[in-house]
Amino acid sequence: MRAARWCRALALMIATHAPTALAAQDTQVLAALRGETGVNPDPGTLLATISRLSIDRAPLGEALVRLAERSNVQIAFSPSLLPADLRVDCDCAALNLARTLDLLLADTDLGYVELGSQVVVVPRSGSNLAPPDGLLRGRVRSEVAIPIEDATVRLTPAVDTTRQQITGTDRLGYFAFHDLAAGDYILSVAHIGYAPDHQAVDLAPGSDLNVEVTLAEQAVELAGLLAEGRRSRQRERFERAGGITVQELNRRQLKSIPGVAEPDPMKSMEVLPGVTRVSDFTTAFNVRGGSADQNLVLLDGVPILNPFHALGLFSVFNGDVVQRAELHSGGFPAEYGGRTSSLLLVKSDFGDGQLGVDAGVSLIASRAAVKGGLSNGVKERLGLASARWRVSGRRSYLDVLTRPFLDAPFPYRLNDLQTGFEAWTEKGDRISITGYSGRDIIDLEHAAMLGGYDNDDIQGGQPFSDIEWRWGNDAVGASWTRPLAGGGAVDLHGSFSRFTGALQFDEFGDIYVSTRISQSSLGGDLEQRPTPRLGWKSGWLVTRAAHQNVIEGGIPEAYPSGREVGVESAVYSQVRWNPNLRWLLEAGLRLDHWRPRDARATTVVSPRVALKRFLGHGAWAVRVAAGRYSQFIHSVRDERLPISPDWWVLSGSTAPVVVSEQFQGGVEGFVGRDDAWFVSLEGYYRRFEGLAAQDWADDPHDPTDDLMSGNGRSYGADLMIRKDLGETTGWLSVSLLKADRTFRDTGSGLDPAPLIEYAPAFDRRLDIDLVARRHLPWDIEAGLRWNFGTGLPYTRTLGVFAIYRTRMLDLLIDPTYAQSVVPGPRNGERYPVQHRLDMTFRRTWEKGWGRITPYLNVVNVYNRKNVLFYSFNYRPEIPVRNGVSMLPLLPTIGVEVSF
Amino acid sequence: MRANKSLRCARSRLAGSSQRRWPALSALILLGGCELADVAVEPIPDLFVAGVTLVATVDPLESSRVNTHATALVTRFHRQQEQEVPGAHVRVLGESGRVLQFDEVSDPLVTCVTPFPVRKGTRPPAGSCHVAFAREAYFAPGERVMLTVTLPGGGVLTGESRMPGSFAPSDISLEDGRCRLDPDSGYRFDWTRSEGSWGYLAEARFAGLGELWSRESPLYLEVTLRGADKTALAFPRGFLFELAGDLDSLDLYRALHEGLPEGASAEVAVGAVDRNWANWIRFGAPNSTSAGEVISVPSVFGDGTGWFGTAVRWRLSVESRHANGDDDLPLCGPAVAD
Repeated sequence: MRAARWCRALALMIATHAPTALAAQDTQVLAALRGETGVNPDPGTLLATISRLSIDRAPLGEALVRLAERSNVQIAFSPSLLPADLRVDCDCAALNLARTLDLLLADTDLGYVELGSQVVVVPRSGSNLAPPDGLLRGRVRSEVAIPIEDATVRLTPAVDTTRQQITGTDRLGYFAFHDLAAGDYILSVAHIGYAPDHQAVDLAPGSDLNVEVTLAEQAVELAGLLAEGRRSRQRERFERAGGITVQELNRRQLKSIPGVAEPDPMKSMEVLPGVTRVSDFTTAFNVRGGSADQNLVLLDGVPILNPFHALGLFSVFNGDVVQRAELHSGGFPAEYGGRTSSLLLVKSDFGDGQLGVDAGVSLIASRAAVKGGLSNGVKERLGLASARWRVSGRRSYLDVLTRPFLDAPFPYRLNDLQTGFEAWTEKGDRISITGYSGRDIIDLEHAAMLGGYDNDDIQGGQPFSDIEWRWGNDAVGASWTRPLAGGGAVDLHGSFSRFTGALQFDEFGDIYVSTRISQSSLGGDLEQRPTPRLGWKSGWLVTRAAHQNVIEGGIPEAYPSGREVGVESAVYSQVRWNPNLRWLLEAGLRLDHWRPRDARATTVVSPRVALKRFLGHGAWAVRVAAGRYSQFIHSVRDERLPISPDWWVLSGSTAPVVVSEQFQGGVEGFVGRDDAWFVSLEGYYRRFEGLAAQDWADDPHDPTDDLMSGNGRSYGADLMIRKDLGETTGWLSVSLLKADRTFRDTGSGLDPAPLIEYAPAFDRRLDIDLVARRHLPWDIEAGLRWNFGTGLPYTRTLGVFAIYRTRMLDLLIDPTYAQSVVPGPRNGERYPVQHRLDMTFRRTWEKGWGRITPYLNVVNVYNRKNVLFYSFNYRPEIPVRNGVSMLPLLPTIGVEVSF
Repeated sequence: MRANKSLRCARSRLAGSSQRRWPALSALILLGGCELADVAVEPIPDLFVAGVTLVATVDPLESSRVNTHATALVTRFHRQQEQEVPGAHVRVLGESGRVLQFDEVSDPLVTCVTPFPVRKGTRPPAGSCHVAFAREAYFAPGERVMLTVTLPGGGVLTGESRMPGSFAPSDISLEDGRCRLDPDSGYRFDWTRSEGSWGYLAEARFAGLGELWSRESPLYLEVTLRGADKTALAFPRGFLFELAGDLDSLDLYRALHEGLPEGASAEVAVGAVDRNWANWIRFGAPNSTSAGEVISVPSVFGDGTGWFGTAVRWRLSVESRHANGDDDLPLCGPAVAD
């Protein structure tokens, strides 16, 4: 019976030229509409159209369909609202639509309203229909009880398939629809790798229905579902997040962004709005005018302190085992702490529990990842419903490959190992463990031969010798999550992370340079959602951090040495409240207490607030957010230099506490059929206090002035236009930025040093990225990225001179000299605009044994010579400026295999 | 303007670069940034640079015996080429009102520059040299002194410093400024604190090292100690940083690590330097090019740049040999392993 009613409804809707122009996803808006009768329409309106209807004892639904046909006006209605068996007569050929509807609806509680390009038949004002207050929530899990994140959940009113709502599941598989009108619905859930599920749901007025959805595994990967999953995550974030700005790239997108040698999740961040990078030779990035050390990088929640290989040329993340990377660039709620500029979440792909291998070879490194699960017996003994793991390793091999062709081994190599484990207990708890260890090694024992020296030079006492420089990260973290009824959860998490670097002269034991920083954290979060309109989350985090920088053996102190130990304690609480369909409020408070061993303790109170107003039919929203942020760690990276290692120090006696106040506001929304386009425009203002910079003229008697404390400011706007559906997908990002820094100019030599305000090295005023991905004939997947950026600031050399030293022994001038420059105004000049086109082509062949994907990356397709730095030569009669460019045209190839 | 040479890449540009550039070298070789074409730019005006030192030398055992020596190198950089600035006037005025007037010398390379052969990659200075000498402590410890350099064209360069406090070695036995160490044993120089100084510059020139050092110029090593409180230095171990990284000097490094070999000797000078001197010798921030330039912290201002450093120093000689009778040189002090 019910099925027959749906069929009839669908037929009627088709007859009325559905789909209509109404926003399909907003049933609530429709349900809230109230109709009128007796309307006196203005000329030219739809309701003033002559109906040309003449009908005799026809069912009301059929009469409305006929009316639409005769008047050529779209009329939308829900057949379930029409009184059953009601038949109507109307000799209305000369009447307008309003009068005709008055007659047709006379014996009902229905009225009409003109909405856009159609007339909608809905209950009249004052009718006693139940308000749309139904609630449908649920959880999506696999057959082995694994919650499925990012599943696309659609809710379609049985009476009107055009009024579809879409959302996504969260990390624990939860979803919710609220403010639903009573009636019959179809609930559809889909996720890649699983068979779609459809079920009928009958929602009574005021009901709170909880459904459990189980998806069966289906080993078919549909590209459309991938895009759908991403889009549903975006939609869910749009609806649930008040202030935070999040941009996300999944693995497929990461691989379609052209790069050098192999996909790099961190390097790919530069294509997102608000992100700038000072050169092609560094993976460090700057977000909205923040320094690079103000970005917190988390691998599955575990901080990676120095996530770079090769002095910043590549990141430590293996693109094969990254599920997605999320850049949170502003508007953070209270649960976020530790850094003031951005948060990069890199989420591992733990695999599907089936034994398999993903491997790849690029010009940098060879890599392999093995995935698998646990046997049923082991799972049973451990009380696990499911378990999956992945181990991946990577090693560069230039040192091996070049051995036959070079006089000496290539002096650099890297290796890293990453592990991940995720399990779900039979009670639904989630346990995850992530580990990472990586090393970079520069071994200069034989490097002199690579530099073009001959044997005579070397024997004559040349600079390179038995020097080995090792650095790298070690990190491990674990978390336990217990879902709570209603969509909340309890989390406990702990991690240890350290970065160490040591420069050793094996033959010269007294000389030693090392840096080490470590963080051990333990924290917990409790999230509850008493109602779909209200959720709150509170948590705590205790972190012990320590750094130790050692310079021994008479080495001139280019970086501050010393050590510091401190404990950071943080608590937060935040609430999210939807008072109605139009408003979303987030408010929270965070307290960060930093107690360094050798300095005074500091407490920073950080209020956060965000307000979001949904517009139209819920497809657009305006939002504002404000908050205070703090961090207690610095890197003494010299951002003026194209390549610069990190040298970490903690806030304390030598380094200040960074406090930043930030405001942002903007508009975002979906455009096009099925939310195919997402548009976001956001402006921001940030103020930083307690920035640190190296003092090159510090007083040796003052242990607190190795680093200078300064202030900063930035403001700008970010535009993102993104298309996730269709043959061609991609996005356009446009970033406007103006940043400045204010420090004492100790390099001036003046005492006291004057304050100087300047644009930091990453102050790119305009940055445009166009990224596109498209399937070409022959199953080739092509990716394109074009970047345009205005010039970065630099300090021009106004003069070059030799500096000599007077020897203390004989008070004579030593002819050994160095070159010094007379600098112009700090960062007072700008490099020319830069632009570059990169492309990638991938082709996958499915074989009986697995899959093979060779790829070609072409960086800087038209060989644009973007400037890395300038040098000035004033020696010729006509002085010249030259310099070094960034990456030239650089094709690289690689291959990936999976089986 | 020269032709575009874009295909010349960093590999060739950086070959032969100095050790301090090797991180950049490694990275750029990996990915090959290329050299940009030359573009003509506006000429810059000539740059005047004055490097002025004012040093009070104290007797290591009798701190009242002091003489004062000052050197000024005044150079005009025309298109990066050094030129003399004949006719400049240099003087230092003390807080007390005393004025030390410098005299320009006619043979700067002989009078002002070390006589040892110039090492590969170095060149002698070509500026005008001015000197002043007084057999007394011309300015008192802690006295503020002001430099004025008047250029022939009327330009003026000025600087200011404060004389570091006097200091002397402690617990050392000397005879005519000389002492002895047992062969292959180490020693530790200790000295009193120099009030107001920003650090110490210690230098040693070795002789008699035999096959360990067969080069034409003597072995010269120096070390910088930051802060007035750094009043101790192992000898010769504390001077060895400069040898690190040079595998050809490994035997020498190992030998000096143990002590001064028998038959070898060393002249040692330790100077307490002021803020300006300390800033100058640590060079300052690296420039953003890969050319190894630095942005040094100036202490001379006005119509040019440069530095004006003051110091107090003492010097002595150390000889390594076993005692040769009762009237031989005294031991500098007890041997120290570290």
